Formats: sequence, C-alpha cells, structure tokens
Amino acid sequence: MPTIVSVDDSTVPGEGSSRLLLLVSSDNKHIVVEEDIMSRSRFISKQVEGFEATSQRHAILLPFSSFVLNKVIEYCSHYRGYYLLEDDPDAAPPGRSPVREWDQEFLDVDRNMLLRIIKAAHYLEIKSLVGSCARAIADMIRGKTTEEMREILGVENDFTPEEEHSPSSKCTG
Amino acid sequence: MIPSFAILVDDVLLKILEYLDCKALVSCQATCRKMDRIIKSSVSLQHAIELALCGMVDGPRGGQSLDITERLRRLQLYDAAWRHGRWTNEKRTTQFHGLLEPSFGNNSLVFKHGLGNRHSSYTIPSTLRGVDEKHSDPVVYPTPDFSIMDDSQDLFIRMDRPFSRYHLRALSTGDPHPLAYNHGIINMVQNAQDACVVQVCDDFVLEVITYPGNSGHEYIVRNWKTGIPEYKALEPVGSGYRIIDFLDPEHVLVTSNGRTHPRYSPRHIGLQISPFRAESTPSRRPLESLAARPSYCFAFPPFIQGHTEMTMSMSPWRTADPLATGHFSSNPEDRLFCIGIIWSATGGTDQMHHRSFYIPSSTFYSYMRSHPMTETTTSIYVPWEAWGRMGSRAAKPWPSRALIPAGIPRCIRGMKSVVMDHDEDPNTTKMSILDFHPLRVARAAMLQRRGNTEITILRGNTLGDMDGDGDFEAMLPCTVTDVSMPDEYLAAANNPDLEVLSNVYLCENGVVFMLVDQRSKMVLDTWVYTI
Repeated sequence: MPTIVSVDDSTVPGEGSSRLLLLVSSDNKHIVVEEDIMSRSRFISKQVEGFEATSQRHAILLPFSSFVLNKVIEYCSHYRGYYLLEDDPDAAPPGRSPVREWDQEFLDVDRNMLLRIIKAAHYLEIKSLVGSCARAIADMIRGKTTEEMREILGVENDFTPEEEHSPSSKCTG
Repeated sequence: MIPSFAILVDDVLLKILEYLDCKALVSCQATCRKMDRIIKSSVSLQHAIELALCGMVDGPRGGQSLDITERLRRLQLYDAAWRHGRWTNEKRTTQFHGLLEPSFGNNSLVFKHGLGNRHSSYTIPSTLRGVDEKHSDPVVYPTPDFSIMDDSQDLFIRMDRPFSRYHLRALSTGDPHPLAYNHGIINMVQNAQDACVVQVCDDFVLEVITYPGNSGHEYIVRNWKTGIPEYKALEPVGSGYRIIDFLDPEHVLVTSNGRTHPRYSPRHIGLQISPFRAESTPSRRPLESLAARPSYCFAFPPFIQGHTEMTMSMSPWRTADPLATGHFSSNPEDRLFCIGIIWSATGGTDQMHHRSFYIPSSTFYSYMRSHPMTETTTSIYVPWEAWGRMGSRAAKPWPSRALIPAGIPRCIRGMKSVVMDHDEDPNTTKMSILDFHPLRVARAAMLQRRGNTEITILRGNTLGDMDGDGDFEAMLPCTVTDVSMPDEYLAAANNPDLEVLSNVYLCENGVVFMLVDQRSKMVLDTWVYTI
C-alpha cells in the first residue's frame, strides 16, 4: 500500500480553472488528471468538496488497477463537458441508459475487463458508465440458456436438485 | 480462476437485469441463488415479468429488435393461430357478470361489478402468448368511477368526482402505477363544473374541463409521468367541434359534421387534424382557441358524395410493429391511421355500406411536411386522390425484401380493405363490424349465419414495419375463420324466455362474445374465442 502523499497546490501546476488531482491505483501507479475530467464521478466530486472544506489536498487512493483506472479516465475524458442525464444528481433517474455508439465501441472488451470497469464505475459513482456497462453485459447474456449464462457470469449452480426442478422458475413466453 | 459477476453488489446486478427481457430474466433466475433472490425481491423486475406473462409486453426490451425472418415467422404463427383458436373455459369467464359497457384494451377487459364500487380486470388468455387460464383470473379493485384504460401501458385512470382529480393505477394490480407522478394522483382545477380525462396517448393524457357559466371547455394535455401540463387550448361553446382522439401527443383529431361546419364544404369529410404544438414554439403555450387553428381536412371519396347519412370514425394506430403489442412506438410516423366510414344510400338501415380506409401515418405525416402550415393558413384539404398515392413511396421501390403476397398491398396503399354489404349474402342474418384493431391492420367482422350456429370472423391484414424505415412490408392475406359457437351460447341466445342480445368485441388475442340482458343491461355470460 502506498502511503498518503500530500500534494501541495504549488507542486501541481493548475491549468486555467481546472486543477489537477493525483489518483493512486491499487498497483501503486500515480496518475495525474484534471479535476473537471473526473467531476463526472460523484465519489471524486465528494472528495474534492472535502479538500475545499479542509484546504488540504491529497492523493485519492483507489482500489483498482491502473489499467482499469486509465480506461475510466478515457471514458470521462471523452464525455468531458457533456451533460449526461444519468449523471445529473438533481435529475429524476432515467430507467435505462440510452444507447450511445461510442460507449458500445469503448466497452467492446472481454467479460473480465467489463466486470472490472463496472465495479470501478460503481465505486466512483459514475452512473452513466454503470448503465452502459450493464447494457453491454445484458447484451452478452441475452438469448442464452441458463447453462451458458452461468459460464458467462462465472457463477456456480448452488441450487439443490429439488429447487432446480421446481415449476416456479418456468417461463411460458 | 475466472472472476465471477456474483461479486458485484446487488444494485449493480439489478442494473444489468433491467436490460433483460422476460425470457432472459427467467433463465437468469435459474443460474444461482443470488440471482434468484435479486430477481424475486425486485418490484420493478417482477412487474415486468408479470406484464410479459399477461401478454402486455412481448416486444423486445432494451432497444433490441427481432430480425425480419423471425418477425415474419411469428406473424405467420399468429395468423395460423387464428385459424385454430379455441373457446376458453366458459365456467371461468362467467364470473364476469356485470354491467354492460365493459372497457376494452388490446388484451384485457374491465367490468363493473353490478352496482357496487368495484371493477375487475380480465386478461384475455392466449396460448400463443403464454397466458393460460390461471393468469386470467380477474383482478378486482375498488374503483367507484372507472374512466379509461390503456392496457399496453398497464394503465387505467379512475376519476374522483366532483373533486376533479384522478388516479393513475396499474391495471394488473390496481395499485398506483409505478411510472406515474406523485403516487398516481393528479389534481385538476377545483372550480370546475365538470372535469374528466378523455384520452391517453403515450406519456400524455388529455383532460377536458368545463367551467361554470358556460364559458366553454378547456383542453389540457398533461404528461402523466411528470404531472406537467404541456399544452392548453380553449374551446368556445357551440363551435361544433368534438375531440375524438389523440393522433399523437402533438396532434388531436377533431370531428364534426361535414355539412354544418363552415370550414368544411360538403365535399370534405369533417375530420380535422389540429397540430397542438408547432415545432418551433415552446411546449407551453397560452390559452388559444382550437377552432382558430389551422388543420388538415380529408376529402370525401367520390362514391360517398351525395349520400345522406354518414358516420365515420378514425382510429390512430399506435405502432406498426405487429409483435410489439405492449410497446408504443416512440416514433409517431410508425403508426397507422384508419378511417372507417359507414354510410347509407337510402337513409335506412337496410342498405348500409361499410368501408374502411387506411392511411399509413408515415405518408400522412410526409403529406403534412410537404404541405406545411403557414401564418395565413386556415386549413389544408387532403384530396381524395392523394389517398391512393399514400403508402407507396416514390423514392423507394416497394419493399426490397419482397414479403408481400401478390394482390394484397392494395389496401395499404391507402384504399379499402373489406367491403361488406348487408344484402351481400342471403344466408347472413346478422353482421357486426368489430372495432378496428388498435395495433394491427386487422379488422374483423362477424357474420352470423342463419340459425346462429356459426360465425365467420373476417380479419384484415397483418403487417408490420419490418426494417424500421416507416413503411410497411410484411403482410399476410385477409383470413376468414368459420367458428362454431359453443352449445351453451346457442342455447342462451335462442332461449325465447330471455330477451338477450349478443355483443362482440375484437381483442388482440381473440374475440369476446357477450350475452347481454336487454332489460337490466347486465352481462349474462361471456365466451372468449382465443388463439
């Protein structure tokens, strides 16, 4: 585990109004990123509010690898300055994220990566990314049999044989 | 070791599950205990599954659509199902003793219980859609004044009088509708003489409010999911207009007698389509008289001109996707309008003619676009000749993927489908024209043969916008089904001690026959011919 690094404002030169943040990934990589790129993340925004309240800025430790973190930063940079309804804390939450072509391409990764990204997005509270990942995962399992779903989701069948044959889980559609 | 999705927290898994359709949800539920628990404990997912099982939502969820081959296969399956329908268990359906005038949706009907303040909703069973008899038990809810329903959105609206407010409830449960604003209760004005909701279209309801002092009606279009009034219009008394329907959230259809209103010459059908909102204006507009608005009017077909009696109705078609029965198309151009005209050459009832005309909404809207309203426009007449052209897009050859059986597309090019005259068949003792089907270009008529032992169900064509470009390319030929009536029905209908009349309604999944006691207006028995 890296120790908390104190970052003095003077050591991180700000560019315009956007200041820089130091993010530390679980593999101890230090990544400097502009604050307003990451403002899409509610988690980061809350941390920044904390900095302003205490006038202390420090690195933000994140429990996932730099590989995943870079991917999330790529997402946030792409939508920098864009308004996405799902990320608006004041708006009524929409049911489903709309289909965004760029997101579909961006999330065209293997299932393990998708799992890591959705975990990271949930941790960072980026609702739009969680929604897009959820859509991508749903697309993977839609139309599959139960056995295929188990394989994709990586879950074990933990039902007892009686439960498995109970008629309650039958679909007529 | 493959990392498992089961490590995700419930909230995130729920997010994923929300994008799945009913079938995938049920498969997923069987994968492991955790998924099973999450799906069972989620109210919204259970609601979605319930709806799917009731046949209210069978269209693709999550923006996915079926490929053309699959759609055509299902269409053919649907059409074949009509030829091999069955009578439902009458014992069950006789539970619906109630007052006449039930409310009908695409797949369900609602009865009032005698004089009590209760209604019950009944889903038409269908093996094709996986709704069996056990799902068709009625849901009973205490509702004093049942107003309107829209079962494709699982919505019914109940009115409170004279308090001028209404409740938005889920048809499947009777509880407040999960998508409605503010627990489903919307307050209208307090000082009204009368207030009611007359139409639902997608996210919008049309309210009509009458103020004391005979100052006219106010029409309000409100988004029922947010509670926000979107548009208001004031209608002076005595203008001769009557709103009959929403065409889409931005257009209302107004009907009037073609010969009494100054706007219509006798050559034009008294149908007016008024744009509620112009594209460039903000959605909230000040009160404005509807009568003063420019509108599109339809010309009479030449063979009707000069006849004395005529009634007519126009039905908006909510979606062009024949399989997405539960989904409104968000694109108004995917809908289809249908105009039905009944006229009499002699003024009597023996020579009634019935004809229906179809206009694909895409061509109607493109007509509107090519003939835009201007500041000085008072009205635009859509000439009869244009109807024939509607539906065939000049720029694009008729479907590249030829799915249309030869000889059929005629009706969809804007002209007639089925013509039925009373005197056409000497064996016909009674004919009922069933309502236009709200979701398909299917129109059924029932011909009762002499002796009342058999009925013929004529169905129009089933079609769909297969590739989502706004035209119609899949059609199946008009079908005729001869059905023998159940013995109990015949016994009751032919019983000389009873003064009964039979009412017939066409639904998505079947035809409902009701025996009604003419004196008490009570429904004696109900039979459903279902597919």
